[in-house]
Amino acid sequence: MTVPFRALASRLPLSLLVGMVLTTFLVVGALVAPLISPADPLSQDLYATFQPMSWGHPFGTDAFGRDVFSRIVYGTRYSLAEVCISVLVSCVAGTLAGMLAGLVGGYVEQAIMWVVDIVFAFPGIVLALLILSLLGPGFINMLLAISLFSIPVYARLAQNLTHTLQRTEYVEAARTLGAGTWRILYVHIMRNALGPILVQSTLTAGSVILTASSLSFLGLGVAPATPEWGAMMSDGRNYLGIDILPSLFPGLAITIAVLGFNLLGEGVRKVMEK
Amino acid sequence: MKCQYRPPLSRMTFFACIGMLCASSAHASPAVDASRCLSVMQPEPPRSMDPADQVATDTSSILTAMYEGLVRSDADGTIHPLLATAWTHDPQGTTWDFVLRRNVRFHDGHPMTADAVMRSFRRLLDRTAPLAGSSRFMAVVDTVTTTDDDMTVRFHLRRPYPDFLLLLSFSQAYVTSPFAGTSLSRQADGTGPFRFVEWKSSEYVMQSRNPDYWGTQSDITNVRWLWSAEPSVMDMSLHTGDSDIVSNLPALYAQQMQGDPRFVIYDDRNGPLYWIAINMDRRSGSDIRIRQALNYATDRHALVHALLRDRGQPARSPLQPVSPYFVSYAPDPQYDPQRARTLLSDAGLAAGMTFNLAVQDMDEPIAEALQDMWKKSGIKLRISRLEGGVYASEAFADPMQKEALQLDGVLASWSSGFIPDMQLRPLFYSASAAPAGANLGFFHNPDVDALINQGAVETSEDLRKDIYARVQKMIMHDAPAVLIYTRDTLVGMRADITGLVVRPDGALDITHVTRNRQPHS
Amino acid sequence: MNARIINKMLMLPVVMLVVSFAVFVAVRHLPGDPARMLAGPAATQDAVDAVHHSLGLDRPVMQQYGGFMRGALAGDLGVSIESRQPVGREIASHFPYTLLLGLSAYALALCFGIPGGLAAAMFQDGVWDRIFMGITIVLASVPNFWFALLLMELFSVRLGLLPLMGAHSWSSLLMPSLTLALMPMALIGRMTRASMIAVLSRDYIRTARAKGVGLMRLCLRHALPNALPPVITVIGMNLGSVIGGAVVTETVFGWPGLGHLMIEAVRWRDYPVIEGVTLVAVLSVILVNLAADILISRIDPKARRI
Repeated sequence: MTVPFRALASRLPLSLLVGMVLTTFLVVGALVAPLISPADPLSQDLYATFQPMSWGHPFGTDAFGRDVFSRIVYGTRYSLAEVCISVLVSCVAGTLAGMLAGLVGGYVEQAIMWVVDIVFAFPGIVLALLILSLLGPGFINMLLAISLFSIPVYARLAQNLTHTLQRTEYVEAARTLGAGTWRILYVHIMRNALGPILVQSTLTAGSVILTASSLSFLGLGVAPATPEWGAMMSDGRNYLGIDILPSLFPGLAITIAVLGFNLLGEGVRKVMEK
Repeated sequence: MKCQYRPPLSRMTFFACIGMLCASSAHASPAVDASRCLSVMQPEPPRSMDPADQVATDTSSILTAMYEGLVRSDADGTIHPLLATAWTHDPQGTTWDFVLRRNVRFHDGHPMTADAVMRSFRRLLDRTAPLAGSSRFMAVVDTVTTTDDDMTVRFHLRRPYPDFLLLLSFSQAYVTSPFAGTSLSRQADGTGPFRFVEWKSSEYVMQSRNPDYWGTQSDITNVRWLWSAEPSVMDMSLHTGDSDIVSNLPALYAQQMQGDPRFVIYDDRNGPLYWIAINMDRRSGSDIRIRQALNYATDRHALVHALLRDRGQPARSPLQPVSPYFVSYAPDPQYDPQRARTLLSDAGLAAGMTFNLAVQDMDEPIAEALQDMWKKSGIKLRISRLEGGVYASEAFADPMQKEALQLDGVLASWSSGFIPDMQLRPLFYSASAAPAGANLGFFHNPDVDALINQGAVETSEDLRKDIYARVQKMIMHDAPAVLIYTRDTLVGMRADITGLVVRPDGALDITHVTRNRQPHS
Repeated sequence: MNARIINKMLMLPVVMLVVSFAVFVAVRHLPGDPARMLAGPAATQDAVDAVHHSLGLDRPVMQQYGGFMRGALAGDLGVSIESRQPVGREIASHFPYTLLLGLSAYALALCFGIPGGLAAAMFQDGVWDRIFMGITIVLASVPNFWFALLLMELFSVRLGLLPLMGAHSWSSLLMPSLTLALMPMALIGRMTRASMIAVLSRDYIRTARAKGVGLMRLCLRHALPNALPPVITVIGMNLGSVIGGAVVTETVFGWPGLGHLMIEAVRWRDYPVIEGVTLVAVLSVILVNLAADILISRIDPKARRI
């Protein structure tokens, strides 16, 4: 069975393959975290802080004697949750809003896009700061804030696509045949818009992880001690002159995860262009 | 069709802006001789240039260079004359007269007279316009007047206060020029060896030597005060030479610098005490067995080792070890998770309990270490990490608000210098219950109250020692708090710096600092 | 002038009004009491109440907003709770730093992105193209605060070459602007490349090539101006995230810009400053986008018509 697989693999762009491998690592890591971690990510040993890399601690220990490798592995769960929840919420909400605007047109469209533009004008982190200060810190609150300011991108995209697709002949035909708005939306437009929206969501996935880790880095995201990569770097920042490992590896993990999603998005786009 | 090529807008704008900025930046940093310029870094930015309107240690350091009190205090609490050359008090100890030093001028040129000093203190004690530092003085001092002699100031106290001189050495009691007006919060005007030059928001405070100073001129011509909350930045700035002195250097970095001949670590055992105030209004705090269990669940030695690299001591009393009234409570609460579990099940919590703790950003590592520790005793610690403003309002919330927040405890630190009344009254006196004072857990014990009142006015040293010993014993028995540790005050300096003094309240006194030109032999 | 642009300009005051009101109400629901923060933990309740009153926080919200708007239209944005300085002055003193940082970052991004993207497009699928695509995608994946910490560790701690923090000298600008430039570098580079590829395949380019116009002249004088509009658009669209990046960068490097001011203001519940900085940020994004639209309409002959 390897021959057809190889044939398939050689036809796909490199970016897609690498992206798929990296994101698979992320997902698998999240699923089997307890199996591959040498230690409990929360368990401390106050007499063994800042240990160097060793067999027992492949990435050393942090300021509380916790195993960094285990925390990185468990961190995949948080990154995956960040991506899934944020992208899902913003994609669904934004796409629906944009499509509705594009289809209905008129004042409704103006009103929706106007609100979208206002949210778009807010620098993301500023908006997140305000929202998190209101709601209080916490993982879910952080994801809500991120979802909120990611909506405009999807809304704009969906609106553009809807406009373009509306003018195609088969939609005109469906209209004259008496098809209702919702039916047009579902049958014709959504199916054709799915591709670009999918590409956009892989691109957003990467920026979600970056934004979430930035917010955690600023101290606004997860609860203390949580093995989330951005939060780990925020802890490590205080000990930069003492031991760089607790800051080095989480940043590397973030880079690899985001790279995986970005490559995936690029690869999917290349495949769809062909 | 002719296509024009224009360079990207941004490049031109960039150069234009650079040109504009160069032209418009009127003030370059003053030209200074680097070897006579001192650079000091602290964790926090200054709150105000007005000594009466602040209660922060780091702000005190900056102000100590520019202002002076009537007296000053050594690191061990010995009092020396400063703006006052002599003092007397009546037998009851409620009226104090201070003879002022002659030929002292404020930075604005006006002479310091008894009238000026009186107005300076009246501003601090003004009930119609209270300032941040007013409350601790209003509780002790009734009025300030002048006498027939134009260089003598008289204080009328509400009741005898044996530690009055120490109180006067605090930064809030520094003498400010009554001619300064409302600009005092942004522009200092005192009598000190350095004068205010500039406070650049978020960047630095600049001071220069006062050529008209009444005392010995300092070797240093300019002082620049910086601040950074980030420990690694503080450490790096010392290495790169951006700072000559770094105060409140975290213990981990101090340990690293230990053997390095380029640096000197000044280790003062007089540092703040850290504890968790248990909310005695809630179920978890009202049962003494639960409070004791929390104490047994805490491994203080491990905390001192990991967080302070042993530059500190496990807490054995609500007073700091450097206090002359400190008594080590025996037996030492040991780390005993088993005993903690037993106590909890006696109290009906065999399945364990949850404890919600509010903690300030910078103290969060202590809470994080406790979380895993307390797990072993069946206690689930939920950490509420709060930024400065939110922390202050939650920590000082009244019982109803704390109940709404479901707050079981607050992690706090306190440093009082040498006055036991300043440590015990705000923290354990029943009338000091939040929000009125810092008794964050609403502890109230009438016997403790009575003893605190007695100790405040008792003039006999032996009787005072006895009273405070009994207070400490009572408080330790009632266990209203989980006392954690006392941390040393660590100051990191470049090896050629000498003459630094750390005052009892933790503030730095750089007025006698010199820089040795010769290499350290 | 383009009708679309005029339309946007008219919308500006409306947007600012809505945003300012939303922010005004929002910050007043933030947990934490600025009066308590100012008065200090040792102050009595009376002292805190006095501060509360002096800040005007005990009046109804609409009254406070009315006062704020009256002042804002006259140029007075209120007084910072923490520093007691006029907000306008605080913003004015911090704004040049953020501007400098942003412009340097964009300058770096353009210096790398445009030539790099140009070369990649000219020799599409060549060696440089592949390398360039690889570099840009990594640049877009690296968290800027991690990059900042690595730079600090290498150039300040280990090598002692660059000043660590603050804005004391021109060399202080290097690391922060490099950090902030990461994302724009990737975006500008990729967009230049994509846009150039699209332009290079157009008919008038082929015509010019057939007429014998040299490659360099072709690309720089004929193709590039037409390829720039999408690049300018993408700069405007992503300004929001660059401002976010500036907040993090300024925090890590202690760069005294608006981002730093904003974080401090949130910490201190300094309502006037939070409002002021948010308004400035939103205004900047809108204005820059507007400027980008105007610029495009000037450069791109096709967009000049209504």
